[in-house]
Amino acid sequence: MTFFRALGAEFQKLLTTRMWWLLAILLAAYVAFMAGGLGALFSWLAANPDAAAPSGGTPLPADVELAPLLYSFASSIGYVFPLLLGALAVTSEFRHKTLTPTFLADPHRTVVLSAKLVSQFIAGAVLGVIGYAVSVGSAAAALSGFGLETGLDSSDTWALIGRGILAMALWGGIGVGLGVLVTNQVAAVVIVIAFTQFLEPILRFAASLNDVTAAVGRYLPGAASDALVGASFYTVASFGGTEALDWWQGGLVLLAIALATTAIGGATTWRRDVS
Amino acid sequence: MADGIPIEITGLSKHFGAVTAVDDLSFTVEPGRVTGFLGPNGAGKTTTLRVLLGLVHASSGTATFGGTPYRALPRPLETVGAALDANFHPGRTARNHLRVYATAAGLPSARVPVVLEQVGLAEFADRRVGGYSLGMRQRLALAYTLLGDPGVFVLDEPINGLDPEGIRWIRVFLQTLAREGRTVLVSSHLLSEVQQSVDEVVIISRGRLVKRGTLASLELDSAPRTIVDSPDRAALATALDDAGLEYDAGRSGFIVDEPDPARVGHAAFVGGVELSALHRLKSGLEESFLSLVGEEPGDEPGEAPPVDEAPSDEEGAR
Repeated sequence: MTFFRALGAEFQKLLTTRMWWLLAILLAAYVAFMAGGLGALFSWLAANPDAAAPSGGTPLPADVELAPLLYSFASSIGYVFPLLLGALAVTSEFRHKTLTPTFLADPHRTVVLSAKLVSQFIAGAVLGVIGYAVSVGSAAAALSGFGLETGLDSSDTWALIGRGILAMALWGGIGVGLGVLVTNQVAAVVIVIAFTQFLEPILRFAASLNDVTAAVGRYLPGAASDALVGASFYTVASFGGTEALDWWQGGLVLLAIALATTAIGGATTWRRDVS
Repeated sequence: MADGIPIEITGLSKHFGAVTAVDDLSFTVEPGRVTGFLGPNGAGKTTTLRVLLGLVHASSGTATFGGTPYRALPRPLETVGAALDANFHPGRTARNHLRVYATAAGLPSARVPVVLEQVGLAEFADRRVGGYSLGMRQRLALAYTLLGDPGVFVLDEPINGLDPEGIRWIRVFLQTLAREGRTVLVSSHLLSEVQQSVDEVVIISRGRLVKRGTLASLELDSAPRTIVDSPDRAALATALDDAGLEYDAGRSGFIVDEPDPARVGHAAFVGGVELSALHRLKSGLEESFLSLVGEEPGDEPGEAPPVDEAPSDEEGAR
């Protein structure tokens, strides 16, 4: 009972400031640009292989299916948005010192944090729905414009979309875990940007150079996320031949990261004196 | 309305590392009257209140509402209304701020417009709090305390930042709550700020209780004194010394331990000193307060005169 009150309050907190739709708009614009823009480019390349060759472009591997690759941009590049939203949901309480009214209204801190985690799973899924609506919409338009397969009549495509939305939900939870571990808002945002945009891509590349590190690199959150979704431009630009995780293993890795970081933060920073 | 419940603080201590913020503090706050919780900045008032509200862990001792710690209250916002600092998410409107916490506490959202009206914020309710003045933030913090119509109010420096009209308003507000039988605890670092609002005082200094009683009892503690000033303070000091009068240097002159201004005037006349002020100190409350909390400027007699820190603090705070 008290959990659902806390969950309701968390949703109200989320919906009564501008952050969620700001991030939703950025996500939609970014995904539309990447999925639609690259979709148009790749479609043109695929439809005019002769015209493309003299321009010096590397031809796409023949066995790559274009549609799932383009659709998965929603999560393979868009996962930073639920991650940010989740982290901000926690750090803004510290930054604006709203933990005082929050803990006065509900002194059960574990309940409050659990409600935050669940609310951000759901918010992440909503961002996932928005991201996939945009990526599928723009990429399918580009593909069909060049007379290529959209794959929308295939259940595999829809399963990929479903797994992609699940990945976005889990990223929202990881955001909560990160936020409660790194309560300083600026630091949390810097970590999100630095890790997702620079550090992890470099780590994944470096790990792929050697079979032993590649086996470990599969467990990096971005790699696990791509494994869960089942398609990503990383797998196309595949460095090395190590098998990715199974989709369900990838999902469990993300879930474990979300739960572990939230639990550690909940036992440390979340229990501290509020002053 | 919930019943007023006594606030009971027993043997409470709180250490931050090597610093002792609250030191074996015990007192009770009864319903039906306004209790001022006084002490200079850094005396441990806010820490005590935060421990009482379950936000800060006590090092030892207990702080309860009629025996129940805050965290164990079944319906906290309907038992205690607390305003600790006027901090809000700047991007949220006042109405939404209150709605969030009404939901969290399981209170009907119909309470929100009622409490906004009560604190006079109804017409600004849909404005983002980021644009609020300090006075409006204080009112919004009070609106939060009213959400659950509780029997106990715990307010930390609620008068800070209010304009004169707001100060008059909050005096009536506090007295009304107390007359309805609620428990009202109001902290302040300035006695003058709350002396027209409070019936009882609890005074702490350096984390320890120094005085507990009615406002009137505080007044009795301080013998009436006389204020005297001269363009030539050195000469005045000599004249007072010659007459054998004890005095402290204050910002607006010397505070002489002598109830009869005539005797002080005589001493100046004998010494041939021109006076610019001579009158009895009407209320000894502030002086009594300052001497209790150990901030009296006269602690070190013979020092340079024009430093009376507390009153200049007061001007800074307004």
